[in-house]
Amino acid sequence: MIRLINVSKAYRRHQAVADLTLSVPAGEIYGFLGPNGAGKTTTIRMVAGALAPTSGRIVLGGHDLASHPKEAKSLLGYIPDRPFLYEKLSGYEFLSFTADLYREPRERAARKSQHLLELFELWDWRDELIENYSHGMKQRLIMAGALLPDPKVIVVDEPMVGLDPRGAKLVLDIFKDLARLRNVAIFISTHTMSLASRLCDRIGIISQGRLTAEGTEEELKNNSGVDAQDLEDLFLELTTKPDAPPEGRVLEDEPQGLK
Amino acid sequence: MGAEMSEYFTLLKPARLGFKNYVKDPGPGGRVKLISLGVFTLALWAALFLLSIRMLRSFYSVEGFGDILSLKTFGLLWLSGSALLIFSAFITSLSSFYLARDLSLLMAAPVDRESVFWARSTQSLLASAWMPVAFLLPVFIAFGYNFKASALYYALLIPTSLPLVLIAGFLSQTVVILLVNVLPARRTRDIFSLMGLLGFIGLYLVFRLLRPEQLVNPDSFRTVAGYLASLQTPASPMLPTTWATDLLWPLLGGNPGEFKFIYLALIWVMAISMGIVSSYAAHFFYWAGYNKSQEGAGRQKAGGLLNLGASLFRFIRRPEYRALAIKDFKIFFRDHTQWSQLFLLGALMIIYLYNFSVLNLKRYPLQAFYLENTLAFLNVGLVGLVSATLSLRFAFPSISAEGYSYWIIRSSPLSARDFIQEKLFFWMVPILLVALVLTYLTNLFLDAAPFMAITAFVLTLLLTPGLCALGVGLGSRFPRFETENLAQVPTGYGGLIFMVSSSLSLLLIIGLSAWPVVRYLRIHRRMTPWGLKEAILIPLMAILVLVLIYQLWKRPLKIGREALEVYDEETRSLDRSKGEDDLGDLSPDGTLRPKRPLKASKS
Repeated sequence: MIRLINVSKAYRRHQAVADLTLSVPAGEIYGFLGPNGAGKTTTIRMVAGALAPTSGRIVLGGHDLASHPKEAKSLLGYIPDRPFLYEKLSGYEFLSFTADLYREPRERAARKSQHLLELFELWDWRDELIENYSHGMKQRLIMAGALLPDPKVIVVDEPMVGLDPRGAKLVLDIFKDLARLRNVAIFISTHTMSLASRLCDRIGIISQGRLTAEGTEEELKNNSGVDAQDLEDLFLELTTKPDAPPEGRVLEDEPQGLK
Repeated sequence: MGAEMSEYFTLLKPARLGFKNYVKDPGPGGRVKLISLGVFTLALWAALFLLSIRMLRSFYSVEGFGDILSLKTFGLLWLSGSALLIFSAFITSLSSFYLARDLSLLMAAPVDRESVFWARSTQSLLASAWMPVAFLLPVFIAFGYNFKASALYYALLIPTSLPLVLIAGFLSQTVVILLVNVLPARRTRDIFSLMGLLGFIGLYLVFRLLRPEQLVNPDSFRTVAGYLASLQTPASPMLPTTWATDLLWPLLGGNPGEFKFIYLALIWVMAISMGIVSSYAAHFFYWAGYNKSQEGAGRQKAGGLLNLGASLFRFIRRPEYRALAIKDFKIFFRDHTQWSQLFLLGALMIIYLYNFSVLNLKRYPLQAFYLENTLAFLNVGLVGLVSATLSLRFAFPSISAEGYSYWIIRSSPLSARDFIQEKLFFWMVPILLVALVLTYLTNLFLDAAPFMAITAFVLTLLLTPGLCALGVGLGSRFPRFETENLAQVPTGYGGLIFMVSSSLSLLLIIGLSAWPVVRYLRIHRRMTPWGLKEAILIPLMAILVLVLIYQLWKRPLKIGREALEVYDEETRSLDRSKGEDDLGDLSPDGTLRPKRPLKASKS
């Protein structure tokens, strides 16, 4: 359902993503892990069509994002890490706007909007302007907007940012249901190892713009040649730079004379 | 004191370093932008200088008026320059002191709040002052050149302008600080509305005081003596701008013996006093006001009249166009900062129409026909200027208005073409309506001949959409999604390009239309017979004008669409032309390279 074929992205002299090839079939939750600056968000935004790759192809549901953006994006629900929304619209108006943008029939959109607003506990706030929402509420509204057009592909950047534990659990359950019951392909970028471990069917680890490992958690542990207890150990092993300080020593000694 | 100074300079560091880095590396195309801006500024200065010289010389073509008009203009320049400074400082102060995104970071830092205030004050002063000062300087130099002023005049220009900038800045800052405290919390938008209203009233008063209709009223010339007497009335002696005039005028057309340094001292004392008042206002009210401005506005409901207005868009058949139009409509009217622009637009229209309504050209029966029809034709250019101004204010920033939320459009199935088309139609309809109403009413007031009225109407009908397209197209080519204040979008490089392109297009189209129109009028009045030249050239030029208008519509939209299609907010600095894509492209035949064997293997 999601295919990245030799995708690269360069910012002037900086290579953010290099020759990335991966695929996510329908019904799978794919976790995309990596340290800060590894190229996760750039990849996510390229898959979401918000950023054009320098080279390579991205195919969603059989539609090339570059040559058939409309068809590809019609299948997509994108949830960015920062909840930038139209602050002067109400929550309900935003969903109605999204429905029209994705050409959803009006009656169906109204019904779905109510259901999603209730699901994300925003129904009481439906007529308030978004500028009055908290960070978490905005994040939940973005999720409601992404789910409204029944996407076949969901691309999520840091899904739990700004959510309280109750909201986080809700989102976790929704993603699981979408993948299992509706065969939706979900591509998640995250720093949270426990989330990746609990939610994802397969995991890809990106470091310095390159995919360094890919597989189920078990496969990663078994095949990596690293003595890892859990995903976090594995992640640290696979993404640690050679010049990083030895384990257990992070801060340098205070220079003499400053004490 | 030393610690405060150090804090003050540290707080100015981000702006200083940001500027330095921009000059050092302005990004791809940045140098071209800087150079073209420099060339444009120099050309503008030269034009201002030459125009001022010409104006001053024309004053002396009427005996007895030269000195008085020059003095009055000199005083008026200081006065209007200061008024502009106050207005500009008002807007930048509000944004610098209360709305800037980095304020929460600064307020949380272990620095004195008054250091924050003074650093912000400096930035606000610089931001508000550079433009009026830069534009007035060549005019003041032209005064010196025309009157062969001594070096002292030029030497005193900066020491006189600087305290006036400080006075205007401190005055605006003090008023803003007090207003934010007096008005209910989080009501900065009300300040903008108030400003718009004040701007409207101010413009109306200025207009009424000028009484332009008197210029074409021969009766008024009977009272030349009275007119002269009114001109000689001294300006208010309490205004610092009067002190500036009185300080420098003796070095120009006045009596050098009357030159007094005391005026300069007075201006500086006033500036320092305003600084002290501003400092006290900041000490007592800034922190409290800042807190108030950060409080939530409470639960604000959407709905009411606006929903009724938005229902007008229900007739749009394509759902994505309808969605965008309803969204744009609601956001525009809920953003009260836009209201001041609407007030000013209203003022502009009223003044425009009033100007024409009081022109009584029938006083000159022999020339009335030509005056009326020439004015009706020139009015197309003036309405074009109004349309260009409206396009710059509304259509041009409409793309940037998406702000950080542009990701919603980017990741949706909406194409860049559809997005631009919606923006164009959304703004074209009201701007065209305004332009047509202005054209119709001015033709009515002028009693223009039917041919001229129809020509003006048709030209406006064709020209206005072209100007809107130029606005939306260039707005897409030079988007500023990251802007904090939408009103600042037209003041950037793209806005400058728009102003130059729209003025040139207007000049070209009006210039090309003029000959056939005048020729036709003369034929119509049986002053010139139809000849072969007319039969060939009139339709040819009409076709040329139509082609130009079509290009004005088509080209910018294409440029804008192409720019948005490749727009990457993070890669605006990406220089594709340098071939830095060292990873190569997908093979031309579309075949895929084999997948790398990465499965669970450490590379």
